[in-house]
Amino acid sequence: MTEGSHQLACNPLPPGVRKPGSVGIATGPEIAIMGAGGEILCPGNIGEIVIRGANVTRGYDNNPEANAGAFLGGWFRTGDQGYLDSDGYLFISGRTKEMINRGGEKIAPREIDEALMDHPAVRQAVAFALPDARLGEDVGAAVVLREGASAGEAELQHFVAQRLAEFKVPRKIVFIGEIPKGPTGKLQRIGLAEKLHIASAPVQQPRKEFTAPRNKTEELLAGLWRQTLGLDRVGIHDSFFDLGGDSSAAAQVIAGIERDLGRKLTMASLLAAPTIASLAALLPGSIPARPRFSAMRSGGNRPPFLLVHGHPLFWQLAQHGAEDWPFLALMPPVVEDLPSPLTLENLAAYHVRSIREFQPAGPYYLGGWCYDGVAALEIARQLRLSGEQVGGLILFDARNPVVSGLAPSQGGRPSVWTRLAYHRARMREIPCREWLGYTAQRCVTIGVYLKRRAFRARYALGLLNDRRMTSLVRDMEQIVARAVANYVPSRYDGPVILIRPEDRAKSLKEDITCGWGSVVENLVVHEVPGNHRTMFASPNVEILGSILCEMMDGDMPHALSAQPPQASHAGR
Amino acid sequence: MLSARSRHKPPMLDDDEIHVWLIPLPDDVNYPSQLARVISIQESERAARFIFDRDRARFIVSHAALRDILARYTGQDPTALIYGVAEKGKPYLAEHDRVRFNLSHSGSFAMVAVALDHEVGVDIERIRPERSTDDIAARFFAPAEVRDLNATPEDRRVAAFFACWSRKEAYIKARGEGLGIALDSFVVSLGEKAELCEAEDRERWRMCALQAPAGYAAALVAEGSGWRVKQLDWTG
Repeated sequence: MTEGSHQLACNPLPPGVRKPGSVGIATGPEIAIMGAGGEILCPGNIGEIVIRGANVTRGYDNNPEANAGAFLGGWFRTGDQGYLDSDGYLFISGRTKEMINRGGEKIAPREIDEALMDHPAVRQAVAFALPDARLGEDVGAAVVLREGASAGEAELQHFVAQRLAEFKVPRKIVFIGEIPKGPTGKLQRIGLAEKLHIASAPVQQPRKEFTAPRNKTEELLAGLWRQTLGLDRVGIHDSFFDLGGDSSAAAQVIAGIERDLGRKLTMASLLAAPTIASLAALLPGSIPARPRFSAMRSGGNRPPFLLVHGHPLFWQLAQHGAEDWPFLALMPPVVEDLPSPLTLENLAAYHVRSIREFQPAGPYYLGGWCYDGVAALEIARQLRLSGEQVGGLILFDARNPVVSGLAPSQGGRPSVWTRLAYHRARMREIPCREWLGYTAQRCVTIGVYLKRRAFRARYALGLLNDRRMTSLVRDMEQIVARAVANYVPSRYDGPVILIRPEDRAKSLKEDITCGWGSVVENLVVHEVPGNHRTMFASPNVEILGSILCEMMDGDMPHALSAQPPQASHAGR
Repeated sequence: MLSARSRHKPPMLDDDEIHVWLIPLPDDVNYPSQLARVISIQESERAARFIFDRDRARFIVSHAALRDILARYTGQDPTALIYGVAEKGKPYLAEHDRVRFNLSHSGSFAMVAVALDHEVGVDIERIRPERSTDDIAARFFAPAEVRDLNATPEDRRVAAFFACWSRKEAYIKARGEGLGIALDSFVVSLGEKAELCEAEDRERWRMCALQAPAGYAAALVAEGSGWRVKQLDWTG
C-alpha cells in the first residue's frame, strides 16, 4: 500500500487500545472497504481496502485508462483485502498485491524482473499477475528493450527458464516502449495486465465438469431445462442463469415443475437454487443423490476391488493392497432405493446395476465380510449369469447361511441350546475375570436382537412410515442380515477365496469351508491369524494383504476359466 | 469511442423527462473488444461464468453500454462509476443519488432507462410464442389478466401475453424488490394502453408502453405521473 504516502494506519500508543492482528486505525487518509460491486461496505465485511485523502494521489493526469484500474470513484484501490472492525481498526486479510498467486503458488515478481533484466537486450522488466481462467493468476511480464536490441517472447521465456523454476516463467511477455509508473514514480505492478490490455477480455471459464442427472427428479429437471433453453445437454451443476436463462425461461421451468411434479416453486427458489442438483434437493420425493461407491483407496489402473458395503474394518487392509489397485466400497442403498421384496437376490441386483454403470465390463473383483460376503457371492453369481467375468471373489469369514444353521429352512436361528453351547465354549477360552464383561456384552446383543425382532415385525406388518424407517434402518447390517438369513445360495463355479480366522469358536458345527464346500467349486481356504475382527488389524492385516496381492497377480484358482455357469436362475 | 466526457455532450435530461435507450446486442460472439475494458472486474467475472459465448458477448455489451450511457449523465468516466446494491439487489449509482437507471435485456436488444429523482423500471422481452402458453399465464398472471388474455382474439394473444409479461416485469423492477413480489399480486392491462390497474402502491407509479423493435415488447414504470418518455438509440 505504498501509494498512500507513508503510514495509513497505526496502532495507537497507550492509553489507546492496540489490537493484535490489526494494522491499526486510520491516521491520515480515509480508509474504507469496497465490496465486489464497488460499494462501500460496513465494518466487519471483508473487501478490498481503498483509501482516499490529501496524501493519496488523485491518479495519473491525462491517463484515464490507467486511473480506471487503480482508482474507483476517487478511491485508490490498494489491491489488499481486509476489513475494518466496529472501532475502525484495519485488519488485512488478503494477499499483498505484488505477489502473483499462480494456482496457489505464491511468486515474488521481483525475482522474475531480475531474471529478465539479466538478458542483455532488456532494459527494464516488470512481472505482474495475469488473469488466468484456470490458475486464477499466471505470470505475465512487460519488457522494455534496449535501443537497437531485439529479443522475442520465446527467447526471453527460454532465458528465464534457465534461471528460475518452470512455473515462474512468464506465460506472456509484452514488449512496450515504456512501463507505466505509479503516482510516486514507482513502477506499478497492480493491474498492469489491465493497463496493458492483456487478457483483459473476459476469458471463458472452463465449464463445470458435466455430471449427468443422478435420479428421476434430476432427469426431469434436466429435460425441462433442455427444452426451455434449447440445449442438447445440461449438467446438474450448470447454473440456469449461466446457461442464459432469463425470467421468462424461469417461468417455463417453474410451470413445468408444477405440471410434472405437482410442486409449486417461486421464481425466487430458482434464483436461490440455480442448478439442477440444488433445485432437485428442494423437491419432495427426490432421492438424495448418494454416491454408490466410496473410495477406500483410490488411484491405479487395475479393475477395482469392490467391497460390498465396505465395512470400516477394511480401511487398513485397503492400504495393504497392491500399489495400483483401487479399493471401492459398494455403498448400501438408501431406504427409498431398497428393493422390494427385500431378498438378497434383489439387493444383489441393485448392486449389479450400480457396478455395471461404473465398470461396464469385467473382470470384476469382489469381496465382503460376514453377511456382506454372502451378498458378494450373490452379486458375483448374477454378474456371471449375465456373461461377465468375475476375476476373484473373496469371502471374509462369511458362512453359508444354510449350512451354518441361520436359514429358516434349517429351523431359523440356532436353537437356544446351540447358542448356549457356543457361549460356554467361548467362555472356556477366556479368563474368568472376563466372564462378567462377556456376559454383559451378550446381554446387550440380546437387547439389540429383541429390538430387531420388533422392527422386523413392524416392517413385515407395514407399520413403519418412511421417516421411522430411515432412523431404524440407518444401520444396513440388520437388513442384510435378514436378507441373508432367508437366502439359499445356488451353485457358484467361479474362483472363490475364503478367509477364515484361526480364532473361532470350536463348537460351531461347520467344516473348514464354512459350509461353502457344497456350493462353491473352485474354493481356496486361507486360515489367517486373528478372529472375526482382529484379522483386519495389525499385524494380521499384512497376511491378508499378501493374499489379496496374490489373487491380483493371477494366483486366483482358475481365474480365467470364467465360463458363465449353466446353472438355472433358481434361487432356492 | 467510449470516453464519454470528450466525445459526447451530456444529453439534457429534464426533471420531468425519462430517457430510454435501445442498445443492439451482438447476434454472435463478436463485440468491440474495447467494451470489455469498460466493465468492472466484477462484471467481467460475471461475464466469464456464462457458458455460451453469445450470452457472454451480450452481457458485456449491455453492461458496457450502461456504463457509457450513465457516464454521459454523470460526467464521470464510464469505468469510474460505482454501483451500490440496494437491499433487494437493485443497483444504483453510489455517488449520484439523483440519477436513477434500470437495465433490461432480452434476445438481441437491451434497454436502459435513465431518470432524475424518479425510480424507474424497464423491461424488454423478445416475443417467443413457445413461451406464451396457457399454463404459464395461469400460473403467473393475476386472474383478471388471464381473463383479459382469454378474451383477446387468437391472432393477438401472443403479443398480449408479452405485453403483459413486460409490464409486470417493469413494475417489479421499478419497485426494486426483485422476485420477492409475487407476479400475480398485481394487475396490469394487456391492451394497447399500458396501465397498472391494481397494486398495493398503484398511486406511486405510472406505466407506459415503449416502442420496441419488431418481435419485442417493452414497458416502462416510473415514479410520479408528470413525466414524458424520450426514446434514444445507443450506437456505441
